[in-house]
Amino acid sequence: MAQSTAIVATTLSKSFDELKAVDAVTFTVARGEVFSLLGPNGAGKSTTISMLACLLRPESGDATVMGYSILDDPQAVKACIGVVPQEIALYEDLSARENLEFWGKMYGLRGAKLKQRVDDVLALIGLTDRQKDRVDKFSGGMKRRVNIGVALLHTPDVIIMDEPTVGIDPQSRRHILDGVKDLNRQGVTVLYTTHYMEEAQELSDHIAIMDQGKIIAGGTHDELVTIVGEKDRIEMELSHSAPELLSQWGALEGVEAVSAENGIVTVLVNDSNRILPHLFGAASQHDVRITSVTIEEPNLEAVFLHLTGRALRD
Amino acid sequence: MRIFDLAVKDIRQIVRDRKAFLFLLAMPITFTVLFGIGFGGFHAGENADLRLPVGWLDEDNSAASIAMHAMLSQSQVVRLVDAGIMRNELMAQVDEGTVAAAVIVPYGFGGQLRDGDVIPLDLLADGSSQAGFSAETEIQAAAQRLFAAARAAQISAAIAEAHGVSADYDGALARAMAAWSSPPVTVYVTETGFSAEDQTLLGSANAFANTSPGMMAQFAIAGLLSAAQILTLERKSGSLKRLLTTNMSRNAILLGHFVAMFLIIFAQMSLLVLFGQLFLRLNYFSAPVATLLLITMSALFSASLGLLIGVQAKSEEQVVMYALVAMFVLAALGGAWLPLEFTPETFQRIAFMTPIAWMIDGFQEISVRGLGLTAIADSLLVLLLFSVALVGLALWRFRSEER
Amino acid sequence: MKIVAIAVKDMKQSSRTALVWVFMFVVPLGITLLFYFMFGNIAAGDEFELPQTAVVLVNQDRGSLSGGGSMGATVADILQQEAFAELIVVTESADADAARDRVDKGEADVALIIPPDLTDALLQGNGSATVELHKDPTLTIGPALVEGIVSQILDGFAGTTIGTKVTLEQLEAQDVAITAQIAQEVGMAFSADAQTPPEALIALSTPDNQVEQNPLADLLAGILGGMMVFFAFYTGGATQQTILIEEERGTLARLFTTPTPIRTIMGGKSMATLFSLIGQVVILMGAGALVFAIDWGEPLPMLLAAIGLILIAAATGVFLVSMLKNTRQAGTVFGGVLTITGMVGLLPIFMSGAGAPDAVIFASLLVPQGWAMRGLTLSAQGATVTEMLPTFGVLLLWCAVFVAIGLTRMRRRFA
Repeated sequence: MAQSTAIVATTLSKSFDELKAVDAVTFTVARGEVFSLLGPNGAGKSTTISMLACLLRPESGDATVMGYSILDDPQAVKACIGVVPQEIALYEDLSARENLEFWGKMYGLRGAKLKQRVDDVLALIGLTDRQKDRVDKFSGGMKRRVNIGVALLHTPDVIIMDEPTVGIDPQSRRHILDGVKDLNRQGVTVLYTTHYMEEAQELSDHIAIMDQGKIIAGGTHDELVTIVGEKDRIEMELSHSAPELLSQWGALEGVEAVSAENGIVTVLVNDSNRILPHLFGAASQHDVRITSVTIEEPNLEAVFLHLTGRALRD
Repeated sequence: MRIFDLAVKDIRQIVRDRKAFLFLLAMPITFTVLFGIGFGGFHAGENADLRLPVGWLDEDNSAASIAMHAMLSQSQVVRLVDAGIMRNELMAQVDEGTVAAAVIVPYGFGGQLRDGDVIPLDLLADGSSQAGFSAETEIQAAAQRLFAAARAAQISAAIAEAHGVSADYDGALARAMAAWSSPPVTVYVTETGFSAEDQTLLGSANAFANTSPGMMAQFAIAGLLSAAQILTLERKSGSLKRLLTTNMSRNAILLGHFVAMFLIIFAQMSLLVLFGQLFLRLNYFSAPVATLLLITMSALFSASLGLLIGVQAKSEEQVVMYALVAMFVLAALGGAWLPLEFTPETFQRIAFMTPIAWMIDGFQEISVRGLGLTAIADSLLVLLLFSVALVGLALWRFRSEER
Repeated sequence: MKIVAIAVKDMKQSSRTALVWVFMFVVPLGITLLFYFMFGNIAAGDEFELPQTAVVLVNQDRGSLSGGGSMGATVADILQQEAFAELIVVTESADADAARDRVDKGEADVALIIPPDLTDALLQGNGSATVELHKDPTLTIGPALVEGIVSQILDGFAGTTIGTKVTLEQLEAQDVAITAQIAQEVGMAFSADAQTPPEALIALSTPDNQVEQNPLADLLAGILGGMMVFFAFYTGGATQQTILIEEERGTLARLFTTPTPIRTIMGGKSMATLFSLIGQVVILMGAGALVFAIDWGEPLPMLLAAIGLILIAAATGVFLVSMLKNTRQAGTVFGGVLTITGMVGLLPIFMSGAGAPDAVIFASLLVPQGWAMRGLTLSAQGATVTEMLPTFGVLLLWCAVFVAIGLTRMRRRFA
């Protein structure tokens, strides 16, 4: 059991004054997978991983990381995780190499091993040439790379990344996402938090959706989208309103629901490719022109909307 | 007009920074008072005995030793403390500073004096301290008078005997000592700026005469800390770049900051002058126009220095460094801590290469010498020249660096 | 050793800040150097060399002596003797107002105005003449010196006058008829007596602990010691402040995610503080001894004084930083609190010449800097270990209280 799971969180809770930041959160991360906590700002993602990183002590509940309890054996937990904080947490007045050496020592590396790992990480983050430059001379993207590199020094079993792509350019983001995939390919377990559903979708083996301190849904991407019923969503604008047309559409086989709001008609269907011609046919019968059509396949955004009634980025 | 808008914005920022008040007012006042106390200001009231305590041990108990005691009891400088203890205890008291000095009249002193010989009085004092030196001078003078009186009594007795009259040594000694209480010639000290009528409180007697302008000059530079930091803050936050995108010229931006610094330092110095006038009895108001002009020029100089620091410093840390180093060096060199009269001539010449020395000198011309505008003209000119040079340097740095 | 890695990292960071070097070494040594030049002449001779005092002499004495001249002229002659040439420069002027004016304008330091009736007052023995000494009020030493010299000369004359007068009165009181011959006899006796050189009337001895072998070195010990104390407290505060900087930059939270216990992190920072302070104190005291020939005292008392300073500066840093929320507040505290308490604690140093009054010494002992300075001063004055112990004890007590409060607050904050 301990060999197959990396993280087991059991009813973790944490409050700040009146605010219940994390409320009985339970999830399991298998070894070697990428697990994402997805949710809007303030959902409790950072608090959850702060508890897993032994920065905060849970009020109730417990968690194990690689079999070690965060309550009973925080030092052992810390030894097998690497944390990448959201902000760049580096000594900007030290060089890249000096930073890596210092943090390596903090993770208990010494001597030849330390030197070897620093060299490896510098190569990995592509900064071997600039290792002697002070970090405050680096671009934002380069700083991010060092920021991640620090967490890799001691070859941890688990890497915890807290929204590592917030506020950076598309190119750097791409670099980071590819890096996460590479790490994962090497067998590292990654716990990743984000409020970008595309990232969760692209990276994750399993995703837990958090909102207001609770995990409201969890599973693989495909499992999650079935929550909204694997239905395509077709949104249309019409030349003029026609209630009779909407009731005719509703009666078509394969159409689950029809609703109209602010001049936009939303139709949930099982298979958009098959239904679409029938929708157009019915419209021409009623002399109604369809001026725009958008087809959306089911995604996490829809799941979140479905579960909370709010958009993910609200 | 926009220059003043900028200045008002700066002043608002400075006033909101509480540590500004610390440097601008609390610290200069504290240190003026503390240094003043150190140099003998503020006594426990008008009637307090300010004379130096001097231990007295009479091992002789002769007419001469009693006469010496009587004479020193009349002194304006020392106050005898009858110790009645052992020599080594008295030595310990001098050691600890309980008394400024101690006089021991050795056994046989009076008898020898009667015979025309001298056994010197034992004086225990630290001649290198001011108190010890003053006590030593006073006791030396008294001893000289006693010796003169004893000689008079001795000669008088000899002549009396020569003329067949019985010698009355003690009577003659008493007569001579009495005569010394109103000697035929006295020295009367007068001072610049004080007429014969108000000689009761000589300007030089005011221990704050040097400390007040000294601390004013020192903390006018320390007061620049917050003001100069505004420039670096502006640079850091990007608002300087933004200001440069408006159609305000570079010089106008700099001038705006300069006006703010000037006004702040001007207000600071005015309050400190007021404090000196009201609480330290320094006569700054004897020449109001001259004082006002001197404050203006001093503030102008400080603001110029502040402007240069603000332009030159890359970070708030550097502002602290430049301002504190400038403060320490200029204050120590310019005589803000120690009156320049205590220093050798070469040092004084170097001191007057700093504007601080001129500033202090100017304020003393008014408050201590009681003089006016013509006396401080040189100080005003020097401060103005320094200001012009510093502002020029700041403008040049600002232009060359930002482009 | 993670604790050492943290200490080394902290010191590496500090060493890259110019401000640290300036405050730790440049300013203390610079100011000492400044004082060295200020008072450098003390080293050459044993006496403190004062600038010459410019005296304008106005001799208005209208009297005349039997052998020609006047008492006023005699005073003028004496003042211009070789013996006084190093102390005063005398120029003569005919006009009293012009002489006062020169002092008022700062062209001369002292105007000495000898009144018309000086000779008469001294010869007749029944009037009283007043010599006016008009001085520049911004000066104290020079005028006091002139006053002392002039008083001594005049007292010499007055001694003869009083002696003659007293003898005649005494003879008269004993019913001796004062004939011209007797008067002349008395006058001759006192004139002859006035010619004999005065003997030493006073034997001066200076208390043991104030015997100064090298007055300049002693002065510089005070200045460098004071500067060292002043800036050691900045070092203590600044190195401890790194914990706030790390908290704000997020590296402290990251340190907590590594398998490094809090006590190791705190320990590493304290070690950086202590190492920096040891470096600062050793270098400054060493430079003081080598460059300025300062004698800091016997090895053991000196060690106690240095350890006391290092510990109290570090403890004050821990205490102050535990009271702060962020680095913004740190600026105020280090700029304000440490400057004020530092200067209060060091006030006695500034006044060592004048002899600091009790109030100032008392005030200085209300702040830790005062005690640290007391330790250094005692050691430099040659105190024994036993004499050092009370001061060292107070310093340790102070440290214990500061560290206890500081660590409690830090632990509550970061645990």
